[in-house]
Amino acid sequence: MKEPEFQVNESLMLTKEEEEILSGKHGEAKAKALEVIIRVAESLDVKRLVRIKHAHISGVSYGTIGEPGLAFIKELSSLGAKVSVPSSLNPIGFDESNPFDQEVLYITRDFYRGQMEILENLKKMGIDLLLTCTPYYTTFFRKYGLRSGDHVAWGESSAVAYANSFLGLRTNREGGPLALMAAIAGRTYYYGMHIPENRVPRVKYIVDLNDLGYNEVTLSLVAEYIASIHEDESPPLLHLDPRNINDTTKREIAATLGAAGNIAMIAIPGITKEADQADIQKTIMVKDNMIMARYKELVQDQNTNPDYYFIGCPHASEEELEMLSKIKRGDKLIVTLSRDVYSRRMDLVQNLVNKGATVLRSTCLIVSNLRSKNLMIATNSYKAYFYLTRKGVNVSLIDIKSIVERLGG
Amino acid sequence: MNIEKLKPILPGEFTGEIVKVERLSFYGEVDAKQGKLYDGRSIKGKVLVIMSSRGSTVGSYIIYGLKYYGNQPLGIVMVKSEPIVIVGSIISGIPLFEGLPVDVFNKLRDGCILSVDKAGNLRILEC
Repeated sequence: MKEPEFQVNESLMLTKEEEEILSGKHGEAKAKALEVIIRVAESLDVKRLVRIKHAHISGVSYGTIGEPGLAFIKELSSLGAKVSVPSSLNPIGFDESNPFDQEVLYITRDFYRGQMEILENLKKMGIDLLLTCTPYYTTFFRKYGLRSGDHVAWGESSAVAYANSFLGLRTNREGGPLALMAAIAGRTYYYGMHIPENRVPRVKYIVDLNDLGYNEVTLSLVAEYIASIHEDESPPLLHLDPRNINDTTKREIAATLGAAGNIAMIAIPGITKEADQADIQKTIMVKDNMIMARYKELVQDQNTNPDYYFIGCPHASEEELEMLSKIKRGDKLIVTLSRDVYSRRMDLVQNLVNKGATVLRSTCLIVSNLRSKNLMIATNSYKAYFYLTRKGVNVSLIDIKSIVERLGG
Repeated sequence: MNIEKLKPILPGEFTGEIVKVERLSFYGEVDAKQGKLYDGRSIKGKVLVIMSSRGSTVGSYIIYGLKYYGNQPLGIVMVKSEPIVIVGSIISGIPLFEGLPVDVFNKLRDGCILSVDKAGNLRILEC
């Protein structure tokens, strides 16, 4: 970490406690962490910091952050860093219950060592190793006792959009390292999605998919379209019948907004509180024809006989496990989920495993190493499409209901 | 010669050849170990000029990775920055400026040479 020539800008108001932290009274690591938060705050002309109730830390797979990430985390840990608020962790690069013997994934001894070293250092800081990108599906999460309106600092762009849009939590898209700094400092900068006015939608997108219909794939393509044209800083308002949207759809829309753009929140009337306060300046129609080219490219024109069907990016819910339990043949199915949901629904997991499915916990296909990249994968996740395609994997999109049908359900 | 005034986020001084990208996701589109963009262009020792950034928040570590592997750009100049890049820049000590006017961004192309001083004065030396 670079030693900053540190001077706090006068326009940033710090509390007495924050000044004490900065002076090193609460340890070197906490002082350092707060310094990083303050630098970001200053660059954004922020007037004050805000105390947070929880942090969710992303960027912890050795496969994505590698030696540099490990070096950074070790540096912090060696300074005696401890988190100041309950904190949880994103997925890692393998299923820790069975790291080496996997049909689809591959890790080296070095990868294992690097990943375990990252986890040991983060655990030492007091972080809960939930190892999931959907912390909100876990029992642990309920224990944090978060309520609508609470300020948090989350990494993991899909969870950020889900938290702001569907849990009423307030968080910006924090970088993995920043969420870690915020966890240690117990604060983040009061900016963006933390400020109520910034959560009020001004642009309305009326979604009318008469021909294609509504599911997590078509609505992810709508989200991709919105991410490409939405210029306003306020969250887009997505006008559609709430009956056309279930939890899988919400999660996949959130993940798409995070991958295809940098939108941290979307408001849906009847679901998102802020939709009621909308101050609409502009209305845009989104119809079938606007996403048709992408639909043809990603959904229709693709191989109908993929090597694998993939569910669980972001990590799958209990509801999805229940849907999938209707399948007859599972040898082409890969499901990724949290170890919490896995152990809570062992019955459903066992059912899938008995049918030949691969069920992986604590990891997913985009943060791990695939044995072969020469694969055709069909998934209901736009985010998985976005990142796996960049790794050279051939990916097509298909909704979960159709996957269940194709697998005999 | 026109001088554009940029806003320093992590101040620094540099002069170099630019590599220009419209929208960049550091995670997935930058290979820190090779110091290259997804399309093969090297950014090591160059001035990275970006319209806006997007994508996964792992991006900050990728920027730290550029420094870790010695492949860091001389500096980053953006039309508009956002926290993923800001944190990456601060923890890795790579100078970052924002506020590049869009019309200037549009005129720039790979290979143009520009200099930026600590106060954020940007000069296009060759283009």
